[in-house]
Amino acid sequence: MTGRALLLAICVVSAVSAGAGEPVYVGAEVCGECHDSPQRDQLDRWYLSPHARAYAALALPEAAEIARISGIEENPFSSPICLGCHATASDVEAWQFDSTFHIEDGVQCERCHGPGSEYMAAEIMFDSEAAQLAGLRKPDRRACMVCHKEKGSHTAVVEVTPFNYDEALKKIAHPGFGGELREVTVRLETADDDPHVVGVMVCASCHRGESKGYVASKWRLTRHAEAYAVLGTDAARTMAFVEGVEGDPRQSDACLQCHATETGISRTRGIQCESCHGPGSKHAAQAAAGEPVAAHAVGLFPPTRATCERCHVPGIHGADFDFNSYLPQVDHSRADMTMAQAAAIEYKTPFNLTVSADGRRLFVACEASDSLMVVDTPTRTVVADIPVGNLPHGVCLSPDGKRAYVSNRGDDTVSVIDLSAMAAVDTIRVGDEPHGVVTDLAGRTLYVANAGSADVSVVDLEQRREVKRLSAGRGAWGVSRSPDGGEIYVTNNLSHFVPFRTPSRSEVTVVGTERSMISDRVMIPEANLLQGVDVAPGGEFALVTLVRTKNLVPMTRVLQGWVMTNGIGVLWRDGRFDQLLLDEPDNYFADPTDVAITPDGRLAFVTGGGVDEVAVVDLQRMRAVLESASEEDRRDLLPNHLGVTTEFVERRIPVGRNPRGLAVSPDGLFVYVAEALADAVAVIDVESRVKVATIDLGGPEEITLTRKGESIFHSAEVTYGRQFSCHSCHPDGGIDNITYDIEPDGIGFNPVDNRTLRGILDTAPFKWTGKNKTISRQCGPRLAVFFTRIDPFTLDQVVALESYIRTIPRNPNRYRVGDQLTPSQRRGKALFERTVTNSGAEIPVEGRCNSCHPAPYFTNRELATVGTASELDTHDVFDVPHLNNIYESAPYLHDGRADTLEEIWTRFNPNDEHGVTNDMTKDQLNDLIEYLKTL
Amino acid sequence: MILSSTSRRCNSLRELRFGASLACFAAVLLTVGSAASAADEAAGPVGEPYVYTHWETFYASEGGLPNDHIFAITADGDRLWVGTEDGLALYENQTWRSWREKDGLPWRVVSAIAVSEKTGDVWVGLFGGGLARFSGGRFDNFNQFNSGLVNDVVYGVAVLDDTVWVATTAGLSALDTVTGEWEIYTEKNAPMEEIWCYNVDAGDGKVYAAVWGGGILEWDVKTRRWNAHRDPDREMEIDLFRDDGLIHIITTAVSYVDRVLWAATYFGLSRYDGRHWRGYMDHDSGLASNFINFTKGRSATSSYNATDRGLAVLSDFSTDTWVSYRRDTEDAATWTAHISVGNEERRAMSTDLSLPNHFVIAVEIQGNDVWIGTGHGLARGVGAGFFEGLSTPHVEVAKEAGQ
Amino acid sequence: MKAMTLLMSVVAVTFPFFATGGDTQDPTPVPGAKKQVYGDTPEELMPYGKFTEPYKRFFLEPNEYRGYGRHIPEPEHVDSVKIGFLGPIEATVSVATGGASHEEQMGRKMLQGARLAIEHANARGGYRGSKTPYELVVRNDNGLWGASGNEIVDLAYKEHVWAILGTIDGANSHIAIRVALKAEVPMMNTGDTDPTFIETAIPWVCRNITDDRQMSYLLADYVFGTLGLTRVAALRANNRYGRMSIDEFRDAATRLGHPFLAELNYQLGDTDFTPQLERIKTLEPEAVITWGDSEESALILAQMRAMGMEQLFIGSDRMVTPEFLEATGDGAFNVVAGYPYDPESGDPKQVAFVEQFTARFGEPPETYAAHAYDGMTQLIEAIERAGLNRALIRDELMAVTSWHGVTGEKVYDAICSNRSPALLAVVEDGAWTFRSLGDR
Repeated sequence: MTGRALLLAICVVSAVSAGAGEPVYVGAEVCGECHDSPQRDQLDRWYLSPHARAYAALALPEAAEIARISGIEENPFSSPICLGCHATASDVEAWQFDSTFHIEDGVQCERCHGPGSEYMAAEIMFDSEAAQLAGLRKPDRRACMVCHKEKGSHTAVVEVTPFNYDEALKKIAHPGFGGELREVTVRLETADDDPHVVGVMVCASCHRGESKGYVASKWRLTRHAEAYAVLGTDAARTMAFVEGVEGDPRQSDACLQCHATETGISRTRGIQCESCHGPGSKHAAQAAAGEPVAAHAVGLFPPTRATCERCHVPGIHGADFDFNSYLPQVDHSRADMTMAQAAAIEYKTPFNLTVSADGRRLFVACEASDSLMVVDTPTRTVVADIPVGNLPHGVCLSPDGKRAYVSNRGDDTVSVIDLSAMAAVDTIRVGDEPHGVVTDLAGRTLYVANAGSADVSVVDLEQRREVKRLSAGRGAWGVSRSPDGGEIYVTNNLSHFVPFRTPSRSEVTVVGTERSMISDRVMIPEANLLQGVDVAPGGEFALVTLVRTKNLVPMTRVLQGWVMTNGIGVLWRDGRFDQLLLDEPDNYFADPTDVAITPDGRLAFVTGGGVDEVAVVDLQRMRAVLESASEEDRRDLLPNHLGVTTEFVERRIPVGRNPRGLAVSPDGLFVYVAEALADAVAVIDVESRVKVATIDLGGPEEITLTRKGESIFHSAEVTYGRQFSCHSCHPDGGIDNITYDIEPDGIGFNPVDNRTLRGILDTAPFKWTGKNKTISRQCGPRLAVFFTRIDPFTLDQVVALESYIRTIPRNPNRYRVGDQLTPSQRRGKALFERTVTNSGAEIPVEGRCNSCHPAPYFTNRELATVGTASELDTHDVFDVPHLNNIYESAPYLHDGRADTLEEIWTRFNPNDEHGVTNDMTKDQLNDLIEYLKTL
Repeated sequence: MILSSTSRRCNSLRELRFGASLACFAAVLLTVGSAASAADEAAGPVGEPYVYTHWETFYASEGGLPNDHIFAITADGDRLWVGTEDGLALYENQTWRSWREKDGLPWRVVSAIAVSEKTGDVWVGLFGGGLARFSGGRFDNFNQFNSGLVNDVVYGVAVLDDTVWVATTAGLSALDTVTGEWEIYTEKNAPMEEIWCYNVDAGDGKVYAAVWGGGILEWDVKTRRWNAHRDPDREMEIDLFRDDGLIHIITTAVSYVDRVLWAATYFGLSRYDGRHWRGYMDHDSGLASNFINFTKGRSATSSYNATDRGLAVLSDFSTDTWVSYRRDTEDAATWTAHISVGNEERRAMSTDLSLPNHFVIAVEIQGNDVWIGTGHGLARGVGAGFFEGLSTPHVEVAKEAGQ
Repeated sequence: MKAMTLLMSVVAVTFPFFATGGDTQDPTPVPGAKKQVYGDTPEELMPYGKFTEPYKRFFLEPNEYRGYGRHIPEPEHVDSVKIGFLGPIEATVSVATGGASHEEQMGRKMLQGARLAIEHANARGGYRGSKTPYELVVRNDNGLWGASGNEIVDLAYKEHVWAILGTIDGANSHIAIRVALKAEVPMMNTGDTDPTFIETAIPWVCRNITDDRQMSYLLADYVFGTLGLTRVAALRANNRYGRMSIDEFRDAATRLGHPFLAELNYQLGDTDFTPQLERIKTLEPEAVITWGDSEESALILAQMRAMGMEQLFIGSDRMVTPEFLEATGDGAFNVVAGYPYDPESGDPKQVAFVEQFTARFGEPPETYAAHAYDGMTQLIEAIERAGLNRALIRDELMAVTSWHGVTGEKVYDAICSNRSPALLAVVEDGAWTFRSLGDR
């Protein structure tokens, strides 16, 4: 015992202070000040439970695998989804924690009982009613099930025994036996400068995370960490008694000297770092400063066999100690033992490409490898693979050929590539989900189509910053510059919102480059998924790819071959517009994705992403077909005519899997096609109209199950007549924002809004009816019966498909910056979690937002009635949707009747059935919505 | 030489009481009156304000405007946007285009119009229909049900950088067109004694809101702080002192130009240069009526006021010179321009403006021209040879004076 | 010599325009020698009266309408002559009113009164005896997520009403008249006693109910004059009604040299006022004044009395209800309020009205019902005289200087606000009795 003074105090006064009124999280140790005695040993019981190890468990390789197959791209320790169930209060702001709170303690007391600052004082805790008034929660089944419902991601990776609520309750039961509060000892810092123990949490503040090999977490998973807590078990008591220790082993110095590192409240953490490495009060600072030598000089020492044998005396507790066999269990000396995420096989997935002015270089944006690949066209070999941002999509070159600009739809940026250095030299922030990119003729301005924010970023390339946004249609996608440089044509992937049960209306946005302002908007009726665009050399017309989705007729029409027709649109200079199909009866041209016109203006090449073909359109014959038709026919007949296609489509050239972007060489001799799922570029000889070569981008040989699924997802082979693929309705794994009438529940009944596939694995059940428990069931035989109308997927196909769909990532949330909320978002969170109305009336539990929409997915994965059933619905209960990135999946509600989040409550919640909201003022509703966008 | 001595002399007379100067001014008009009455004279004779004598009128019956009841006029370079009780109109290259509900305009009554310099988008305030963005021929409607707009009864709209400011009957809304976030300003988060916003103007890093019953609110974009200008006497039924501050708490319009604030009320006009206030009423100035529907500052020294008794123009602040255009009688064929210094009328000039009614609701400046909108018809004052302030001495006069 | 004259002329030319600088503070003479008084304000209660003459007095001349409206031709045919009704019928919430509405009870009475007037007019043969009926188009004064403005726009542009009656809440009334001004629709207000409501220079608005200005003058005269009290403390609702309406009484108290000992407020929906009352009690006031709804006023009085505070209790007209007496029971003594209506006037018109109203609705009228009946009748009379033209209807409405209805003799000032003196409502033997200025 050093000369350090000990002060006696009772826990009531040692409780840390909290902001008056605002409850904050104080951490398990503070609860332990009262709940860590023979009469009240809740702390030790909890400490031995899996709850207490939940955070540490995220360091296991299984955790990384679970995250990977869930489409979670970040480290589990920084994923709100993982932390939502593996930690406590992971979704609150920093100021809501007291310094005594440690997230490393996983699912601790306050996760179930609520932040403790306001109820922890003993006099309050003794009065159950007062405690509950002060915020003490008694968790119920609902609270547990938020995390304990079966999760596909977990069952796929680890052995999970089905969760039985009643059994689980018994397991974690932690009754107390009342009686006087015992006095606890609280260490005070003293002038005494002998080295003393600082506790594992001080070490953990640095020795955490991937770079440090998750040391703290790994320690928590060892028996060392539980050495003290086990003393509270009956087994320990018995053993102690047998070995002659009277009473509670936790009070026995004989036991404690090898079962706890120190005597303070954190002794509960058992044998900690300092038992082996020496008291840290002196060396912690140097260690933190990265001064290992200095640290060692003041007492940080590497443990030896002797260190272990101080306690692991052979034969103790009747057990032998074999140093060599024990060592691996605790060894954390080498970085190669880090439990980093299991590396997934990385493909290339070329999406779009462009050719240099001299035709000698091909630049290919590869989504899967997050890189821009450079191909030497004469030798048809890859000469560079330049890392860019997340999920690169579009690429263009500066007119002087010195730079390439690549859009990264995964992180809302454009990478600036210096082509002499073959390296990214800058990153420019743009709108949400940037896709197409193109510069003006002078190369001073860059135009970026932002699919997510539905606008066009205008970027000043000298300042390399976005100077303004122009409102586009919805899902701005492809871009093309007119030959004279006067206009930029922007396609839009999604239809505008249209009144319920009316056909889509999609926009081609025209930007005038002189002042970088919108000069026109061409509205294309009955069409959506406008993606590719190119302007004829003479500028008299532009071609766009489009799909004509007949979502208003029931899917039964697939048999008649008429649910999704695929074609092109012709925008004439005078503003007129024609639509033509590329389909032939029983041989459709699913997922037309990009179009390129030859320099001589004679031919147009169109990729069919779902059919692995490139269509060759003879533009002279196309004009002839149009000019020979009457105005009425051009308006009503040709857009739906499957019979005239052969008159202007010369042929279809087979290419590799899932052709996407394409480009014609400046000399007009070759067409290069990105074969997205073949990790290759096809070379088509324009003269002979045949594919003459394949440029291998060097993707891995192995085709994983997930990759196989991705291939199935993008193939129309599975649909009657090859009319559409999964991708047709779920571009980029998202939505086409269309409401469908699907047959099983009767034609004309139960219209359903399309839902996103991004990050949905653990949001089961699926469908608005919640009928499908798993993705594989969703994609199973019923899909064939009601959608594709052809032989259902084989079991292998379904497994592969699910394996892919579940990995479709969700975009990073654009509205939440760090763990700080804006004042408006903070007010909105309070409304989301409120329990009383503005007038103080209590809101019934089922009327509170977070009852049905709890974190981390913000769904309780149940069915609910929220008063939204229409006369077309045969039932009024619907799946509670998850709310993550809710801002990117408008329209809302089961039949997509709400164009905006506001309308859910201003129009469609008249009787407060979808949460109690009608007492709110408009500014409060705005706050609520600003918060919802951050989820 | 003599001129300079003259101006010295005049400067020395600055402190002279107003009345003392009148006699001399009468003399002036005797000498210049005849010359000034020549309507097409480019620059009037010495010390004269510019007078719009030639006007063009526009009516729905002529096929241009969708409706004769004009609520808003906004110049957009050479283009002119007009908001009426039943449609939006655009005047460009001497031709009209218009949009009504059948053409996609979300609601018939257009009460305010602002054009974004950055994007060229036209932001249309709809009286009872919220806000509309008119861009590339497409109308997008933002209303109290489908967006964060606080209320559909919109009185004023202004655009500053990426933010659209909307004055509504239940508070001020601001839309960030890049993030899509809406902010609502009411008594909860701004110094609004009442929240009934009537008009908003923005420029030079400031946003000014005319709040009915709340005076003028000033928002500084950099500091994100509010500042309120109110009637110092705090009484509805009186104005205690002329220049002690804003004339009345009930403000109807605000215009911010060259760092000078022009604030209109139904009780007169106020001018604020950042240090001093100046009040104008019908009994002490050339303001034809205290009932001002709208005001448009042309410069720091000149403002155009749409009153219920015609257009009252303060032509030159320093000399308190006004030109007030109105019908002298119910059955007069044309309007008359009344030139005055303070409320002392100096002379009347006839104009060819023939609008049947002088209840002016909207006014806008376009180049040298001025536009006014009334309850029945729109008119343009053609500003041939327009000049700011007062005309300068003729060269000949100077020459002769020099001899 | 020649040069000399020229010099003079140049001087003369430039001279006057330098004569006044924009920032000079020279007082300009006040127009009009004759002293007019707005709002029948007693000499001693004039704002700044002891200090100086104001530069300008407003609201002494009629608000002129100089617009084009009178030239709009009458429609050739109408199926009915629509008149809008705007009032609190259903409970709602809005930014405009700062939260939840609370005046539905008064709104329903107001609607009954308006409806009866329409029925009587139609019984007389409808519009100009043509059998074309008058039709009441009813709107709640505070649409969900909106405000009264939305409803007026709807009435003016979709329903094409010829005039509108409404409303009670000060915020909604103000918003409504601003819309009426732009849409050019005449409005008759029969329920908003906020003095500032009419002080807006809007030529389309008329108010037939005595406002809080008159009631405050009466109470001030009674409290400080007749009773000679000097120590008054206030406890008012913390909403627009409480804030705006107590203004005139507070100013009167201050100007008479007896500023409030304290002015505390309460939130709408509060039920416990003891904290505020305890503070007030320590100040030993001779009278406590409250301005709020009947329910809260009753609770305050009850709790006052329970605390042994027997001081004079002064309240607003909204307190003058049977419910107030029921709720306060024995505590209802030493209580006084201003009131715009004499239910016991014995005026034949009023007696008949009470009879017909009670027969029609199975319950008696009160002030809101009676004023709505008079207001609607006045509107109908204006329409009968003017024909179907909003501006001409407005002219007829404004032309009325005095009008005798079921609420008695209405005297209108220059800006068409009723200036009939208020009544003093006093609780005697557990019942409200009403005294006019004379017999005080």
